Amino acid sequence: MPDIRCPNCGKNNPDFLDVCQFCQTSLKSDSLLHIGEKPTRKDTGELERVLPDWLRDVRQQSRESAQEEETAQSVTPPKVQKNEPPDLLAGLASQSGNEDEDIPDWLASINPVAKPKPAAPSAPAPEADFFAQFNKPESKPEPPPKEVPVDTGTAKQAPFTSEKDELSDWFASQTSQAPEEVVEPPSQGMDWARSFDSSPAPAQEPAPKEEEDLSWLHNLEEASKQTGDLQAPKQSTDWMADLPAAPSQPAGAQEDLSWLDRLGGVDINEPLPSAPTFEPQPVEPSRGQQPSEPSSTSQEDLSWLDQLGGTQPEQGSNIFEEKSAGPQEDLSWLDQFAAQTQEPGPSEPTASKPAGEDLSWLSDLGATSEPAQPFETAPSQPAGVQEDLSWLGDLGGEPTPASAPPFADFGTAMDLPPRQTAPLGDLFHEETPDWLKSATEASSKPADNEMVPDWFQGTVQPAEEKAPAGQPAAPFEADVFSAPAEPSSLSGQDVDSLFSVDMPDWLSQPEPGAGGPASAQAEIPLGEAGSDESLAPVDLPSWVQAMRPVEAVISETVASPEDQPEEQEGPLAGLRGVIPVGPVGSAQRPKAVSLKLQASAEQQAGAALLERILGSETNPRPLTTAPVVVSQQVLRWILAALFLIVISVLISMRSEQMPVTANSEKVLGISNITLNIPEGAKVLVVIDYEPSLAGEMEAVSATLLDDMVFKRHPQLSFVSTSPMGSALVERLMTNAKINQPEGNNYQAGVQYFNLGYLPGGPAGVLGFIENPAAVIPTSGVTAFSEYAAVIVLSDHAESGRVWVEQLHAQKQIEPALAGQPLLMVASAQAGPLLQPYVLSGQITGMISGLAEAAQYPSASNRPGIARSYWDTFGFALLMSIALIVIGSLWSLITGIRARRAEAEQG
Amino acid sequence: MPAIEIISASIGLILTLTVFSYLLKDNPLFRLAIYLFVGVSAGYAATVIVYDVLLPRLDVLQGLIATNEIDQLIFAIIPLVLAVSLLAKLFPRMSRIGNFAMAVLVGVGAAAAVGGAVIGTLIPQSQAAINGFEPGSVGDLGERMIRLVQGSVMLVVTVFTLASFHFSSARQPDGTPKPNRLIAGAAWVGRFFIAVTLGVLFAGVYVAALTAMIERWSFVINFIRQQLIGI
Repeated sequence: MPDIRCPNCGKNNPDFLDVCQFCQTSLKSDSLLHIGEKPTRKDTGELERVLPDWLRDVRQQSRESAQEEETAQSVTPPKVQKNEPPDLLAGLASQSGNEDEDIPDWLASINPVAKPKPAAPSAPAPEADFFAQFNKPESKPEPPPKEVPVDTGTAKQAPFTSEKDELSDWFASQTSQAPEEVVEPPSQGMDWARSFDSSPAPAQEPAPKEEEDLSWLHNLEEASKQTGDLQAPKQSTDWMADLPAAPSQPAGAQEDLSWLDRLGGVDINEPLPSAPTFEPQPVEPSRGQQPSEPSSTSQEDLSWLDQLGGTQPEQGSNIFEEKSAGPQEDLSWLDQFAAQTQEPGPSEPTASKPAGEDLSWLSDLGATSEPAQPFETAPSQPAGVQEDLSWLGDLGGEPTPASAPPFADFGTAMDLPPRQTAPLGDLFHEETPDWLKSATEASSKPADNEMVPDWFQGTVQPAEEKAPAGQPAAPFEADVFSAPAEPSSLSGQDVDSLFSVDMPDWLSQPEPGAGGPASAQAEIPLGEAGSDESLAPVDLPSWVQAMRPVEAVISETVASPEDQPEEQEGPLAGLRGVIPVGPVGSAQRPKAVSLKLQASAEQQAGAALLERILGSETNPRPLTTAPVVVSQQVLRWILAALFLIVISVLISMRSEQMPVTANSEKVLGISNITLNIPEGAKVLVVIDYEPSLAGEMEAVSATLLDDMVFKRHPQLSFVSTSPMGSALVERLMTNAKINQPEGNNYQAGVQYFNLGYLPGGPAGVLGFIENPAAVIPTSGVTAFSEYAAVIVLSDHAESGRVWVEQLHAQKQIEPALAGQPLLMVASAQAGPLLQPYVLSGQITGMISGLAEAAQYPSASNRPGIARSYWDTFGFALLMSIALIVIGSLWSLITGIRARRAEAEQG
Repeated sequence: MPAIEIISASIGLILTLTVFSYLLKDNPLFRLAIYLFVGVSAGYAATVIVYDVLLPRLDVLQGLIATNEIDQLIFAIIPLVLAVSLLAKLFPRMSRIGNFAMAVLVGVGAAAAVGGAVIGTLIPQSQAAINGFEPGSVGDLGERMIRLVQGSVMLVVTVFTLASFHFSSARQPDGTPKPNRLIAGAAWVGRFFIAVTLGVLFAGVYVAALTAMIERWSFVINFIRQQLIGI
C-alpha cells in the first residue's frame, strides 16, 4: 500500500487517510490535478505549505516589508534604491541548514548564514535577508562604492562567512549609505533609470534600518505609477521605458511591484492578453481562483512569477499587500528605473507604487508567510538603495543624470560607467561580488532592442550585432510574462541576472533573431564540415568495389540551414537548422543496401548459360527435320555409282589384263607345302569366316584348295567353330569347283566330309585336337595327327589365333604334331594380325587377301576366282586411291579457306 | 541350271539389291534383308546345334543305356545333366541350378584361352623377337643383317609403342605432374607406329569389303547375263 507523505511534518501516512495522523494536516491536496479533471482555482496562501522554507521566508519577508513600507512611506518619500537589487534569495540563506530542502550550493552561497529555518514561515530573518540590508543604509551616509560594510541587519543573523556572504557584505555596505538617496539614472541615455526619477525626492527620511532598506524600491514603484508608466505598456524600444514609473510613494504592495511585473512582461495596471492587470484591490481569498481576476492585481502581476515558481498566487489580497509591502520596499529602485525611462521626473510614490506591485512576484518567490521580509529593508534604505544601485550605474557604462530625487544620488553615480546587465565591464568585476559577476556575465542580451536603455544598449550592442535588427520578442518569455507585446526580454534579463549564475545562451537569447545568427554560425561550420567531408575520390581496388553495395548511398548534400524553415514555437523558436528538416521516409534516410551480388560480366554470362541449360531440361526440344537430300548423300550416290559402273564394266568385260605381281616366295612356299602332303591324306579344313565375307574368302581360298586337290587329292574334312560355317562348305566347294564335274568332282562324304559345328570355342578346339573322335565322332580319325595338314580359313584373327595357339600348345605335348603344317588363309583384314605368327613359325604359310591369292600359282592352270576378280579389284582399288587423294586435298583446301575466312573476320 | 538354283539365285539377287539399296538411304527393303539374314542365321544355327551336337550325344547316351555300360553311362549322363541345368538359367528363380554348369563352362574356357595365350602367343612371340637378334641364325651375312635390322626395328617400334601406353609421371613440388621427356618422345614415336598399324588394318578392311562387293556385283551381273540375257 503506497503511503502519502505529509507535507507538513513529512511523515508517511497510509493512503486511505485524509489527514495526517501525526500533525492532522490534510493529506489530500486539492491542488493535485488528476487526469480528466479541470484545474480549479487555488488560493496561493493555501499552498504555502508545499513551498520550500526559503521561499516561505521570502514571502513572509515581503509581507513584512510591505507593511513596513507602508508605514515608512507615510513618513519618508519613496526612494529609489538602485544599487541594491532586492535580496530575493535572502530566504535561501536562512534555509541553508534545512535538510529537507535541497538548496543548490550556488544559491546557498548567496547568503552564507546557514541558519535553519522553521517549517512555518513565521520567523522572519530580516537580518539575514537581502532586503534587510536595504533598511540599514537608508539611515547611513553613503559609503564608498567599493566598500562593503557589514550590514547591521545582517549582524543579527548568523555570522557571515567570508567565502559566502559577499553579496550580503556588499549590500550591507550599500545600505549604509543615505537611505533617501535616489539613484538617478545617467543622463546619457539611461532612460531606464529615468523611470526611477519618478520616485520620490531624495529628501526622504531614512526609514528604520530594517524597514527602510527597500523603501527606495517602493519609491520607484510609486514614481512609476504616478507617471503612468505602469498604466500602459511602453512601445518604445527602450526596455526601461516599459518599466513602470518609479513610484514616489509606495502606494501599495501590489502597485509597487507592478514594474517588476512589467519586467516579467506583466502590466500591472492594464489588462494583459494572457494575464490580468495588477490592481491593488483586495481579493477574497478563495481556493481555486485563478489569479487572472483583475481584482487581484497582485495575483495578476505575480501570475507570471507564479508560472515561474509553479505556485498559484495567493488569493488573499492582504497577503499580497503584505507581500507587496516588502517588495515595494525592496524593489522600488527598479520602479525608479522604469519611471526614469519614461519621464525624467517620476514621482517617488508613483515609482514606489509600481515597485511595490512589481515586487509581489518576489514575494512569491520568497516566502508565503513572510512576503515582506525580503523587501522590508528596501523602503527603509532609500539612500542605501541609491547607493546600492551604483553598481547598476557602473553596469550601464553611461551615467545618466539623475532627473528625479530618487535618482539624485544615482545621477552622481552616473559618473560611473554605464550600467549593464549583460557582459559587464571591469569596474563591475571589481565592485560586485563574484556570484553576481557570474550571474551578470551569464545574463543574456536583451531580446528586443526597444527594451534596452541607451546605456544598456551600448553594452549589449556588440552582442546584438549578431542578431538582426528588429527582432521580435522571445515567445518563450512572452509566454511566461503573458504579454507578447511586452518587453519581456528586459524582465528575462533581470531574472537571469538576478537568479541565474550560469544562464545558457539559448535561454538568455530566446528571440528568434538571436537564434538566427547563432544558427547561421552553426550553419557555417556545418557547411564547412560538409565540404570537408567530400573526400577526394580514391581508386578503390576491384575487390573493394565489388563488395560495396549498389544503392547504399546516403545523400551527402547537406541542406543549407538557410533553406530550412525557421522554428516558430518551442524552445527552438527563431532558430534554423538545429534539426535538419526532411520528410519522413525520404531520401534522407540511407538507402537500402542492395543484396545483389557484384558479379562480373563473365560470371553473369555463365550463370545465364546455366540457367538456360536447366530450363532446357524441361522444355521439349523441337525436332529438326533433316532435309531429304543433303550433300553427303549426293556424294555417296556419286561414289557408289562410279564404283558400280566401273566394276560392272570390268566384270562384264571379264578382263584379266591387269598384271599380277610376281610370285612371291611366301606364296611359292605354300605351294611347295601342299606338294608335300601325302596323296589321299586327310586334310582338315577349318572354316572360320562369316557369310558376309564369304565372297572374299572363297576367292582367296579357292585357288589353294583347288591346287591341293588337283595335286594331292586329299580327303578334306571341313569343320567350323561357328554354326554358320558348316553351311558355307558347299558354297566353297562349288565356287572352287572342287565338287564340280568340270573341276575335281569331289563327292561329299567321300572325298570331303563336312564335320559340322565344333562347339566350345577354344576348349572345343583343344578337345578336338586332343581327341577328335570324342568331340566329333564322325570325324573318322582317332588322333589329330592323322591329318596331314590343317588349313584354317578365317576372316578374323581371333579364330585363327585360337587354332594357332592350341595347335602350338598341343605340338609341345605331342611330338607327332610337330611336323603337321598349318596353313592359314586369311582375309585382308586378318592377315596383318596373323603375320607375327607367320614370322614366329607357328603358321607354316598364310595367304592373305586377293592380291596374294592371285599370285598363287595354279597347277591346273584354271583361272581362279581371284584372277577373275583381279582386274576389277585393281581398277576399283586404284579408283579408291584416287578418290581418297582427291577428297583429302579438297578437304585440306576448304579447311584452309575456312581458317583464312575466320582469320579475316576475327 | 536347276530351278532351285535359279530360285535361290533370284532370291539372292533380290536380297543383294535390297542391301545395295542402303546406298540411297535406310529403307524397309534393306531392313527386310537384314532381318531375314538374322533370322535365317539364328535358325540355321539352332538347327545345326541340335542336329550336330545334341542329337549325336543323345544317341550315344542311348547306346550306352542299351548296352548297359554304367561307367560310360555315368560319364555320358554328367554332361547331360549339366546341359539340362543350364536351362534353369531361363528362369530367375531356378537360375542358381545352372550356376555350376556355367562355372564349368567359364572355367574351362578361360583355362583353355589363357593356356593357349601363354603357350601359343606370349612365349613363342617373345622367343621369336629374341631370335631376331640371334647372330647364329641361319643364313648368310646379308640375311642375318637384314634380320638384325628387322629385329631392331621391331624392338624399337615395340618399345615405342609400349611407351605410348605409359601414363605414369613424377610429381613436381607444386603437385603438378612432371612428365619424363624421354618417355614422352618414345611415346610420340610409338603413337606414330600405332597410327601406321591402324592404317594398315583399315586398308585390309577396305580391301576385304571391296573384294566382297566385287564378288557380289559380279554375281549380279553374271546372273543377269546368264538368266536374263542369255549371255
